[in-house]
Amino acid sequence: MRDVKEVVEILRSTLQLGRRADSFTAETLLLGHVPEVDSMAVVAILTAIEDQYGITIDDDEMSAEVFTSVGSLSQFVDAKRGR
Amino acid sequence: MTAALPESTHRLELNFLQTGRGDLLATTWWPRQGQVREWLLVAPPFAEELNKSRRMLALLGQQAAVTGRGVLLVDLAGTGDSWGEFRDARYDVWLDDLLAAVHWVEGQGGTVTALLGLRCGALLAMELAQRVATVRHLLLWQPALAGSDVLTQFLRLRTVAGLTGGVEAKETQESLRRRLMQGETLEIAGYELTPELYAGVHSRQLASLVPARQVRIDWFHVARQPDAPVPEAILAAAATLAARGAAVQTHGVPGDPFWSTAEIAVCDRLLARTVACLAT
Repeated sequence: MRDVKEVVEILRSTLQLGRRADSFTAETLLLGHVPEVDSMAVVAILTAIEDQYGITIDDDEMSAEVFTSVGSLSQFVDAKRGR
Repeated sequence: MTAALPESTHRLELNFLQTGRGDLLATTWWPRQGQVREWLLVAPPFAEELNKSRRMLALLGQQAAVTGRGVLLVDLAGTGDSWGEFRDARYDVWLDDLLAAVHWVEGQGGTVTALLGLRCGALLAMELAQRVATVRHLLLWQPALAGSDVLTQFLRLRTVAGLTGGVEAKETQESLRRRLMQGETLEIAGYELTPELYAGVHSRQLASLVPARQVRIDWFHVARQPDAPVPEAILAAAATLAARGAAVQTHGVPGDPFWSTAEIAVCDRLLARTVACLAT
């Protein structure tokens, strides 16, 4: 999961978490735990990932599991980037 | 936070532009010094992205005053404080609205020489530049490469509702697009998206909208990592515009995606780079 750090930066930026993101690790729970993660935020995160890596994400690939934790989101990004 | 320029460098003015269909709110920033001849017209982004971006656009209006230009932001039909509801919005009407803004500037004795397009607004700006010969310079902020990308992201607001505890049955991009194509208007995050607006946005591609005469295009890509290169896909898209005759320069700018952040965000470096490009 080489992308954990980058994913934390994307979350910090799109959710405007500031220093709160400093404590984020792969184990940090997202959906249902970080109040900023609503549907608007999920779209913003997906768009930021697409923009940053120049990839396209299909909604069919999306599930609540992807947004469970920082680690699950990082794994998803890893897989999308073919690593 | 941004250190806004002292109030005295610019003057803010609100006007309503009359069109045959209804009135449009035009927000203008005027340099205090000298006669204003050249104008930068802003083509706004889609739906909620405009609300998120207003602060950045206001700061741009203030800061661009140092270049001696006027800046005009028009709320397009069915958005902001202009006439109509979102369901009344049509892509071709939006282009007419921007043309009305160009004519208003000409009525003030000025000329629109530059356009700024943010996200979906980049598609509008390019098409407008085809029609307005005085435009020499396009500044694109995180441009949408195609209208279909804008719609994918917009429809997602509804398809991901299921992930975050929404009660609707699982909806897919495909099922929503099919319903639009069959003539249904859909409510997406409080916006009524009509089949007509969907079709208008969907048919636009950035690369096919390059004006026939030579224009200068500054393409700004905002990304979080300070040292992140501009992604290959963006460079390739920019190269396509160049191959079609535009003088394109890409700029990677570190910053937050202010058009979609959870809280209103500002990207100072984007403002500074943009004003620098306007000044040269």
